[in-house]
Amino acid sequence: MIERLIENWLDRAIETSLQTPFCYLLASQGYSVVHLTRHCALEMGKDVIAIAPDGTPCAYQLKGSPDRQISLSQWDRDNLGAQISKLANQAISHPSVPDRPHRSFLVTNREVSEEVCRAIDDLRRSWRQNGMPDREFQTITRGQLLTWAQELGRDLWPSELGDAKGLLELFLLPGTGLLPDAQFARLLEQTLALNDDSLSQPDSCRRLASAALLTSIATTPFVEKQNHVAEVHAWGLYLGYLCATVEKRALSASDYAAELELAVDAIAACLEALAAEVVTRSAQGHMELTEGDSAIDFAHLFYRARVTMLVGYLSALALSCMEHLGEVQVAGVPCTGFASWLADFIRRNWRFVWLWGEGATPHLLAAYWFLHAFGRPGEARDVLASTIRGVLQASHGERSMGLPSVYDTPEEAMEQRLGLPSGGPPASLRRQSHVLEGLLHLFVRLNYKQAAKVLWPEFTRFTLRSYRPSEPWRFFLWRDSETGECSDVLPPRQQKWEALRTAALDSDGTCIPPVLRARPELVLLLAQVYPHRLGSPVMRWLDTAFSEQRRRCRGLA
Amino acid sequence: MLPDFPKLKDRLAAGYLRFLRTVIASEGPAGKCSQLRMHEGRDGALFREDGSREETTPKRLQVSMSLQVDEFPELTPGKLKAKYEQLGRDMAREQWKMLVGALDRACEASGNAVDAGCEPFSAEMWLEMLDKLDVEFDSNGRMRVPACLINPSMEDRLRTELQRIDTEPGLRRRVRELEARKRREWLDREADRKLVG
Repeated sequence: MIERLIENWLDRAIETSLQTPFCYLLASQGYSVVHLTRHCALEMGKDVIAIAPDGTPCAYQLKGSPDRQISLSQWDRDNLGAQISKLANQAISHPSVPDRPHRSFLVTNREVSEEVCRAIDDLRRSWRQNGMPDREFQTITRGQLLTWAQELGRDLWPSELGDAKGLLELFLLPGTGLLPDAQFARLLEQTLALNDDSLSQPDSCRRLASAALLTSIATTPFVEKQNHVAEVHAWGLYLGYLCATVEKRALSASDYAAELELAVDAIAACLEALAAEVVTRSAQGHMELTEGDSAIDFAHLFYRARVTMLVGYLSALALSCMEHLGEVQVAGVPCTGFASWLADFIRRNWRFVWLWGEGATPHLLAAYWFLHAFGRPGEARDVLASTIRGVLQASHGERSMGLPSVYDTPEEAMEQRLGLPSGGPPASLRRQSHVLEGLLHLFVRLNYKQAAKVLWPEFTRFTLRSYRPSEPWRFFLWRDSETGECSDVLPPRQQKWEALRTAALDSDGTCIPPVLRARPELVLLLAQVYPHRLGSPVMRWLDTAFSEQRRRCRGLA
Repeated sequence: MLPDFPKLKDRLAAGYLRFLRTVIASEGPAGKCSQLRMHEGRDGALFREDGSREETTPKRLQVSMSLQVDEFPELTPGKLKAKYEQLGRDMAREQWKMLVGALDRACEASGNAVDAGCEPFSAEMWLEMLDKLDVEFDSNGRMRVPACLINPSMEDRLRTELQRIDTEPGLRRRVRELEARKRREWLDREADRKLVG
């Protein structure tokens, strides 16, 4: 059944969705991927550049087809002959690639017709006749890709009927909703076998590639619907579980760096595609950000939840390229232009931004840090202050139920807010919070003492909740039911400002697993996928990291 | 296998589960006190305002519902619902037992226990108990009298004694003094919620 699933996935994949899993397939064969184009423009005619196990540079161009095979008419229509000539004849210019002749490959998830095979032979003959006998060119077609994928998947993926059913359920989703994070996380846990202490390091590394292929397959319906947020969640979870594997198995950078960067690239590509879509649609008016039934979308607050997520993810994207403003393009424009557009987008749509539950906090904080970085501290402060007020006000009044927990998915939170029946009578979450302490600490860092004094009495009525994993790698588990400690703190009624400020300024980063300490933009992204991991130590560490980023940017300016 | 109706049966099963949870919430302590749900982790810790720490470990509570083979032919939705209702009540009772045990231990440890010394419950004892508590007041200044857990056999005695508070001038005066003192203590506690410096 797994083999059929892989076949089905391969047949439905398009060029862009094939690129990342193809790189993982190469990595599983011992290749080192050094370049991956983002399909904004083909660079030198090469989609992927890698180094073979024997040290030979290899260049790949990926090509799909609406038909079962690449035909001669497509060959002529797309001018494939010229593209392949460029692929084979133009030297690879990349600092990581040795200066020697490279091998070239046309990669397709289709077959190649006899006429096209003949055309390729003609090309090779012409190179030999023109004094270029060393040009190596081959095709990698559906059959080869299928063999590689099946070899990688067969022995490593969930084999029991129940587990395979989970993968099939994901594969058969309509693809228009949110990713079922818990279900996907379970598949990753089974594939990576984190609880198996007898697993060797080489086997762990192989499982990383296999889990990446599983991610590509599971996200097929979301890719087809261009549901970029769901793709971000899937690759974000993969990234999280990759980090769990790195921490648990003590892998060295050479073991996982390629896989990690491929996942980061995949996430960046999804965010950029999301940005391009939002830029295009919002130019047509705010109604163009609706999905499905517009009346229900607006009346029942789904629109607001969507806008909140968009503000969060686009802010995270802008933050990730703040240090390269002049060099990087986002949604087809320089990053400076995108950041300017985003600041305006947040201002225009602020009335729709909605704290549906504590799980929305990472998105609002992403906007807070972005606005700070973009030189709008007043607007940033307003974002933070309104988030704190939202948490406090949800518990105001005897009959209030409080905000849905940080562990509730957006859909679960909305079920609670809409009063829809779920598993039983809703439990009150009044005056409980996983995020309030961290939010107050960020506010205290801004030194608004008088405003903090006004918030303090209500703050002291809350139970401040947190979770601490027993080992660093468990930080990345979707849920850790086996170990770890849940803490509930009743804050003191009276506190000295200086003591509060000292606590607020603490950000030693011990809460952040070492694999991510140099990548605050990834920690923020993970917090948006795993909102229940955005505790107050993580918030403070991120705030410090983004403050330092702002200082570096001012130094560069 | 034989034909089945899994989708509809799943919906019904979910409905019975919701009903069970409703019974537990209404009969048990869950509807009367705030809950802190543990989403993950093995252990818990509570840090109080005074900085003291108490470890908490989840305890397993279980109850069972049994159906005899010869009950099945006569089983109706009403009878099944009654079974679930009893199950809910049994679980609620287990929850109360656990909660009362925890309260007992907490009271002994904090010194908030009043030893009746085998004497019957009295209005004076009631006032002595209230005096030991931190009492809250609502926004209209009305005292929020704490919920009282008693053995059902004490209900009549409790009502009789509490009626004395309304009828005996000496007890009425003591209640007024107690309320005034508790209000001052509450106002002091609320005024203490401040960020200083």
